[in-house]
Amino acid sequence: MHIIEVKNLLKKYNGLKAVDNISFSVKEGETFGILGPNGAGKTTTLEIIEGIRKPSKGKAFVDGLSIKKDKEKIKEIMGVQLQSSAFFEYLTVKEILTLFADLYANPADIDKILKNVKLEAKSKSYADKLSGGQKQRLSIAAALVNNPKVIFLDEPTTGLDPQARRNLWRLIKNIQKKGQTIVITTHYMEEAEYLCDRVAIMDNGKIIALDSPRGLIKSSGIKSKIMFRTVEDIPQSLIKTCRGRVEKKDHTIVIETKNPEKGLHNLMEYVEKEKIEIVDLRIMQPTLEDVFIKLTGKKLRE
Amino acid sequence: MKKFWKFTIASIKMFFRNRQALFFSLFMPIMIMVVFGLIDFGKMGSTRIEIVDKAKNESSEQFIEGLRKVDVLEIESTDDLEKAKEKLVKGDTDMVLELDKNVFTINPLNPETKKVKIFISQASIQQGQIGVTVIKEVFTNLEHELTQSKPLFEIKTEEVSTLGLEYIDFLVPGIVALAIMQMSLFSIIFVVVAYKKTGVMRRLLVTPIKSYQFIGGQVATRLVVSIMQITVIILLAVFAFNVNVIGSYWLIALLVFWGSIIFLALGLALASFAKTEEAAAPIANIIALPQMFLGNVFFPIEAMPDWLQGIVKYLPLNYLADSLRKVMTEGAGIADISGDMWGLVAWSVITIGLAIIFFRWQEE
Repeated sequence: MHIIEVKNLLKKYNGLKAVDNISFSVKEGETFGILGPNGAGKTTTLEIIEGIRKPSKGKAFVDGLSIKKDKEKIKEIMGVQLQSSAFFEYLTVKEILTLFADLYANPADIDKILKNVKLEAKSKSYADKLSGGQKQRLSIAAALVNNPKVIFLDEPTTGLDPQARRNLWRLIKNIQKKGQTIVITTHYMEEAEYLCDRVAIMDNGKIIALDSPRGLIKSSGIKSKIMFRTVEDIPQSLIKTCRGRVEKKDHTIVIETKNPEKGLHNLMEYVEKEKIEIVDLRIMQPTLEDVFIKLTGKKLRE
Repeated sequence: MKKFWKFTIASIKMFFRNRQALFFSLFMPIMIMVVFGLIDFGKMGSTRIEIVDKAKNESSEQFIEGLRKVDVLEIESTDDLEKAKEKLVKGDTDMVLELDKNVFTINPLNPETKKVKIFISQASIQQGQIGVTVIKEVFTNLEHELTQSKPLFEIKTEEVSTLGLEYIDFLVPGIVALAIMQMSLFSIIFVVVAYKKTGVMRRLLVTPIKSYQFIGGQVATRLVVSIMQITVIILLAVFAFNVNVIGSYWLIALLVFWGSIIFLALGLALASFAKTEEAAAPIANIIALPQMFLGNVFFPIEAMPDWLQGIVKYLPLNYLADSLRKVMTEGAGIADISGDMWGLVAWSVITIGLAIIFFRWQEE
C-alpha cells in the first residue's frame, strides 16, 4: 500500500523548473528521505504535497486523497514541520501545542507529546525563549498533535549543533517505532543513511536515484577503501596479494575493493605470515555523499 | 465555531501579554486626550483684564467677583496703575480697567456721572475690544439696576444646541474615532506581516483552520481590545474631564464596532503590500496620518478651506468621528446620523472588498 503517490509532478517558477517531472511513491510506515543540495527542489516537492504550493502539472495523492480536490481532508491526516516556522509570540509551549491540537478533529494528548519530545520542563516557557534544538523539537511536536498518518519534516536538523542533531535523530527514531510514515528532506547524507528506509536523491529538480541507502551505494559500484601504513618499506609482494586497485604513497597504502571483508581477511593473513607491522588500519565504506558525487559530479554542500 | 473561539482566546492572551502593544493601544489615546484636554482652548479667545482697584470697598469687590464669573474674561486685580500699564505694553494683559476711589459711591437721588478709565493696547486690539464691550454691558446693567430704570431695548440672544460645549467635548469623540482607527489599522497590519515573515501563516495554512476562522479570531481580538480601550477613554473623559456623554451607549458601541471593522478590513488589505514590519509602518501611516489631522479629530473640518472640506468630508475617519460626536455630545439617534451611516456603509463595502481581493496567506 502506497500512502503517498506522486506522478509527473512539475513546478515552474518564471520558466525555471524547480521540480522537473518527478514521480515516486512512499510506502505506509516507511521513512522516506529526499536528499539533495540546496535548491534541488526538495522543499518545493514537499510543499506541493502539503498543499502550500500548487503544481504546474502532475498529480499527487496522500492516502488516496488528491492534493487538488481533497486538500482539506489531507490536512487532517498529515503533520508538518516547516523549514522556517516560528510560533506565536507570547504563548507558552503547551499553549501553542494545545491551540494547534484544537484545530484538528482528532487531537492527540499534549502531555504525552511533550514527554516524547522531552519538552515537559519547558511547557510553560514562551517559544522564543527556547534553544535552537528545543525549537525544532517543538516544531516536530506541533506536527504530531493530530496523530497524523504522514509526517513531513523539512530539513529538521539544519542549523543544529551535532549534539542537538543526534537528539533529534533519536526523537525521529522513536516516532518511526509507532509506525507513522515520515517523509524527510535533508542535505546531510549521514542523516539520510541513519534515518531513512529509502532515499530519493534530487538534483536540479529531478530524482536521479531512488533506493535504500545500502542499495544506492551498492548499485553505484563505488568501492570501499582499506587504508593503513607500514612501519618499514612496503614489500612488493604485499601489493600483489591485495586484489583490486592499490595506491601507494610513501608508507601509506590505500586498497580499493568491492568486498572489503574479504580484502581485509586476505590482508590480515598476509601480514601475520610475513610479520609485517601495520598501523592506522581503517576501512572507509562509500557513503551517500560518494554516490551523489558520482552521480552529479559535485558535492552535496557547496 | 470551536476553532474560532479557541483561536480568538489564544489571540487575546497574546495581545494582553504583549506589554508594549498594550501600552500603545490603551495608553496612547488616553495620553493624547489628557495632553489636549489640559490645554483649555476656550481660554485662547478670552480677554485678560487687569483691574486697578482704588475703591477697595465692598461694592468694588463684588463688581470684580462678578466679572470673574464671565467666561471670556480673565481677571486680575492690583493696586498699582503703572505696573498694570506696563503689563499692557508688554502684552501680558489685554486691558487695564481703573476703578476710581469713589466710583461706586453713588447717591441715587442726585446721580452724577462717574468716570471709569479703560486702557487698551494696539497689540491685542481685538481682545481689548471684546473687553470694552463686556465692561460697557456690565456698567449699563449696573446703571439700570441702580437707577431702577427699565431698559428700552432688550437684545435676546439664543444659542442653538451648543449645550455648553467645551473643546474637550469636541475632542473626546475625535479621540475615540482616532483610537479605533489606530488600533485596528496598525495592529492587524503588524500581526499579519509578522506572521507571514516568520512563517506562522504558512504553518497555519497546513492545519485545517479556515481563512474566516483565522481572520475572525484576529478581528474579534481587536474588537475586544477596542471596546475596552474606548470604555477607558470614555470613563476618563466623563469622570476626569467632566465630559457629558448624552447619547445612547448602544449606538456608540455600534459605531465603535463598525469603525473597527472598516479599519481592520483596510489593514488586512494593506498587509499584503508590506513584506516586513519595517515596511508596514509607513504603509499604515500613509492611510492614518492624513486622516488623523484632516479627519475631524482635533478640530472641525468646517475650519478648513472649502476645497479641502470637499475632499476630507469623504474620509472614513470623518464619518466615524462626526457620527460619534453627534451621538456623544448631542444625543443624536440613528436617524440624525444617517448621512454618516451611509458614508460608513460605503466604506465598509470598499474596505471589505479590498480585503477580500488583496488578503493572502502567503506570497506565491
